[in-house]
Amino acid sequence: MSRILVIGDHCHLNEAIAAALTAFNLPLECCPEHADALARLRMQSFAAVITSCDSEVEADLALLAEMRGVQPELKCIVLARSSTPDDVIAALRAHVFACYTPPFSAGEIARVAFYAATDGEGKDDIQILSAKPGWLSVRVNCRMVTAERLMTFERELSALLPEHRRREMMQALREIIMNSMEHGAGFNPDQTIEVIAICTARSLVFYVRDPGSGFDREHLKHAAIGNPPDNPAAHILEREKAGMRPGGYGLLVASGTVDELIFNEIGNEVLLIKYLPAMAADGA
Amino acid sequence: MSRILIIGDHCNLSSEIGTALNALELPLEYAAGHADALKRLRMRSFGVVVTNCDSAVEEDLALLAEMREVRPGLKCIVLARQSTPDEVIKALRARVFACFSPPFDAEEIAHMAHYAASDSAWRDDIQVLSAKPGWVSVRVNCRLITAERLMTFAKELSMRLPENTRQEMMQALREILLNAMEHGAAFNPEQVVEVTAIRTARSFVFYVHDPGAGFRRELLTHAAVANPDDDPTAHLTLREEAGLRPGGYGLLLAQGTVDELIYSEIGNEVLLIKYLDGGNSAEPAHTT
Repeated sequence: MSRILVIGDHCHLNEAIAAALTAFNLPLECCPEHADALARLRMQSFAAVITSCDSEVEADLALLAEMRGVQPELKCIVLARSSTPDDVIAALRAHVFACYTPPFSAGEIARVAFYAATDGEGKDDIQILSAKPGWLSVRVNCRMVTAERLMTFERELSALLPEHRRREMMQALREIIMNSMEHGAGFNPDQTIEVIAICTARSLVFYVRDPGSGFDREHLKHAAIGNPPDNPAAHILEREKAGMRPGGYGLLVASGTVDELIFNEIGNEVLLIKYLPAMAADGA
Repeated sequence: MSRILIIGDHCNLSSEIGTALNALELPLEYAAGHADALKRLRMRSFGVVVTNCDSAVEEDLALLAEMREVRPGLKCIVLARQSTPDEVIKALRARVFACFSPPFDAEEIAHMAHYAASDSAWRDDIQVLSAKPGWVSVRVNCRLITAERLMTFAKELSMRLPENTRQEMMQALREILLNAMEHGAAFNPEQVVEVTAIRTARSFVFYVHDPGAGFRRELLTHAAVANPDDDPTAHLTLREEAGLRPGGYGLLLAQGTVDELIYSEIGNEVLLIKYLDGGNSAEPAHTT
């Protein structure tokens, strides 16, 4: 298990993250600031660094470049006071492992740090096809941890949305990405899905394409969305018969939380739209 | 130039199309109905058939299957009383050359028939990637005629939109499609553009992806969309200096007729959205 370096030992969040990481039995060290972090990296090996929660993304990326001069494979979880779409794109391009701004969840950050520390791959799991504020297009490998990583960036990119709309959209997107990776690629890390996120003045549009052969909605008996109106729990029995884990609510949840959810003919491409109230077009 | 067969010699539209084709000096014949059309096809060679304007798409497609038994390379321009998205998709899959429903424009149909009669490399120009009512994805070769053909299907697929909305959307799509083919592929017929049209309850979304290296908006000095606020005709001088044809209004026009027009980072992908509720997109959905 590789070691984690947590920068900024004076804040409560870092204490909470450190406590959660300790619960995962992860070896870690805390250091107060950037110079000390560099000094420690020169002295011993770390797999991941978590930056200070009161820093700027730009400063963190500059630090990351320095740190990778010492340890090239270092993974970095960026915590920052705030982020702009340009910052998030720069972080993606810099192969940051995950990115968070307030409100922080120490448990979630620790969980992603655990992935970072235990994951031998990851550096090329998120490939940027096109990125500018308002339009992000990526190709990602079909791994659960990559989906989790991607969601941290998508959340940041939609940070300008009202909180409840952002939560709904992210919930739907997460379900769709997980479905694509699971049912479209069997979580095969050699396969990829494409995700395009577009924020316009009045809508947030997500498009996901997986490499699978799609599905027939009539055959979705194991999913809640395929239940007949008079038997809203029919899928539970179907899943039990098929020996599947409890669940199957993904598509139903997704379709309930966005304004439009539409699949292509074979079912391996999906478009999600959330309409926004009139707002500035300076875009997420 | 191959011969054209027009089915339905009793209707005004057929006569008007015939007159327009005569003006283009195209050889043509009229057939009284389906059986007569089949008989004529057995007797001599035709390159193009224009179906009867008061038929149904389904009948026309059944007839086309029969006609292609006789003349496998036959091109067909379907005219029909009306069309549904399902029918338009079937027509696309059946490699119909173009599809029209009322209001008909005899000149436009004659021009399309002229293209069809003189074009030999069309059959695989529109490849259906995915098609169901509400979501059609195609890959099209970068030829002007293919763009015009595709527009006839796009028009039919958006038939249920209010007329002004449809016209605006089609105008924008045409500009973007031609831009993609011209600037993204220099109308190279070996290259392809991908077009996806998605109709949801409250919006119409088009996505166009060309194979080019994109463009930088700052360098678009030859296009009206980049003119400084205080000089709305600056691009005209620049086009003249560069020896370009007059124009450059495509993007400006497209931008003005849809609700959203957004390019990817490098500029070879573009998304167009037209909201169907007049822009109150966060309001509850209306029926479709």
